[in-house]
Amino acid sequence: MIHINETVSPAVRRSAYIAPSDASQIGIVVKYDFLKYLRSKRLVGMLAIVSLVLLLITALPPLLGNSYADDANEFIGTYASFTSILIIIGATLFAGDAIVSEFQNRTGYLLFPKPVKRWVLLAGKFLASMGAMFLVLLLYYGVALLLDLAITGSFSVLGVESLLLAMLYAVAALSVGFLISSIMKGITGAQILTFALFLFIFTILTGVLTMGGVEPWFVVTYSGGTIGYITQDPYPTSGTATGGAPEGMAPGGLTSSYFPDVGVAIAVMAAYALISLVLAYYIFSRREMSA
Amino acid sequence: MSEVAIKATDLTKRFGDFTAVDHVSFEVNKGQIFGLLGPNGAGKSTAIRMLSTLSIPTEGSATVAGFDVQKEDGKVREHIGLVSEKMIMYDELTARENLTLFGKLYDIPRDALNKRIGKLLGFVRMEQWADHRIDTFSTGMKQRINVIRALVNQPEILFLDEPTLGLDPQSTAEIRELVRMINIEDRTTIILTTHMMTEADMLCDKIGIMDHGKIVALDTSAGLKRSISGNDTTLFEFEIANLDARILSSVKALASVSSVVQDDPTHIKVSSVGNDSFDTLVDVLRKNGAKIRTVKNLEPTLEDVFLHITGHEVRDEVAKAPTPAHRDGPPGMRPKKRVR
Repeated sequence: MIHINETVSPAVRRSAYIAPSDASQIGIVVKYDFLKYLRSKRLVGMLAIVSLVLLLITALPPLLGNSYADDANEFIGTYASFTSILIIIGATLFAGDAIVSEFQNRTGYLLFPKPVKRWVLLAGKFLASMGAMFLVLLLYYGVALLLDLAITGSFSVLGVESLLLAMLYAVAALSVGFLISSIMKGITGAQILTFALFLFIFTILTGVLTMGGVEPWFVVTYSGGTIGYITQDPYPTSGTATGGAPEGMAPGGLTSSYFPDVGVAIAVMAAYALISLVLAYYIFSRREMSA
Repeated sequence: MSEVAIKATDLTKRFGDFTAVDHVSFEVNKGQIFGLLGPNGAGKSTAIRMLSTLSIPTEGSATVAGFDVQKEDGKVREHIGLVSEKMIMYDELTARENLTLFGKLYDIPRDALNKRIGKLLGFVRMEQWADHRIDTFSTGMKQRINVIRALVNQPEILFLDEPTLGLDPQSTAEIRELVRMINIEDRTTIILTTHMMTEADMLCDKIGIMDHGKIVALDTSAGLKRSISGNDTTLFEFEIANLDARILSSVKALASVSSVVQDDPTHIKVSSVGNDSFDTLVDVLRKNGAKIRTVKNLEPTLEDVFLHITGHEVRDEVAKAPTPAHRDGPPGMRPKKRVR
């Protein structure tokens, strides 16, 4: 007969195992959520999209008989102009269902009776999604900067600044995704709303405000436009757009007479990240498992 | 030191105008297997969710392992395990990874954790599947992992919410045996919810019958059965080949008979009082030409108890509203056909 409790001395009080530190638990949640990204092929899928984008941007110009930009910053600017859409896809995949899946899939029955605080779960999941997103961005920019160096012979410092802004924008986008995930009842709805909010709703809002003569400085996608604009030297000022992709749209989109101030954009993105995460925690901590 | 593992006092949960759990009170002693028995929608799972800190009570209070479920929910969670009726695991992870994840959320040393996981997998004969993804498992396999997952931290108190729901007979028997072993070996207090009367009868030291959010009866299995049969009452089942209305009437007319239920065209269950009740019944049946094929002396089942107390049968769908308790004899012995 197998004794299931041979590992514990009878002298040890039952339930002798208490919760480890919050930091330790965060690490555990990060590890296993990241593992889930890998196993569910989301991360692999995202890397495949990144690879495709890199391939298209790099291969198409010569195929069409065009030459690459000579200037290192202009070269990296082409790649930077597509970063926003990658971030939107990443936020949808890594954040859109992060919270709601525990309720819809009922895996909250596994996690929530454990001695793990809700903020610890949120922090662990958020850090895992950030890690996945940053991995994607680092790969994207890493390849782009290497190509830049190989083709133009120069290293673009503005390209690195673009990467840093992209990481901040990614944090903001993930945070909003987590907020949506904490509110919505279904995974599909949460992911669609996250995607639509960044790709359409914010963009439309920016466009309408711009046409109305109001600078949309408080719209996070407008701030995300700095990812592309920062590669332009000098940084564009209000007037005619010189290229790139305003407000995260693909090249060839609407021109704008407004260009986000970098300092203001950083503050706006940080504010979206902080406020969204705080609200996500507030809602998540009060949400109960239903039947 | 208190011997009470769980104490619920007027525990209530409302969702808008709907009261899912209505002022439920009970105590469970350490080392007991306590059953919450009742049909779907009775409030059993909602009660479990409150006790396991997944849901906040609207009114009332409860302590689990000596800690208040609202004020000391973190402490409660250090002492409990929960096996949900939903056989959920993280499908993308392997069995071992699922167990390790939940074990690491407690402060279990790595070596002890690995050893324990190995033992638990061996106990449910899943060692060879340890490194396979959960989404490749059958329902029975998932439930075995689901149960041992809740044991990784050796909880003092284990909540099992319909642990055998949807399982095949072999898996059901295995899970029930596992529940017994957990209780015997480690004196783990177990709270089991089920709508299967036989399961409650088989496993539980004490049973609370729930219906429409209330505990309508609370006692041992034997005590509950005695409450409807009475000490001097015996339940007989007759198989009568030529059963007809005349024979039925003759039986019902006996003063010692408290109720008659016809199960099908040839079977009747008769509850009668008195030491000579059997002889009296057989005499009347023979006098009326009944051809008795078989006779059984039945003990009331928990379903009889449920029927007696609530006035309706335990089904997934309640077919009709409860009827008044006393009609045609003692409650629970209803003069209608029942299909088991």
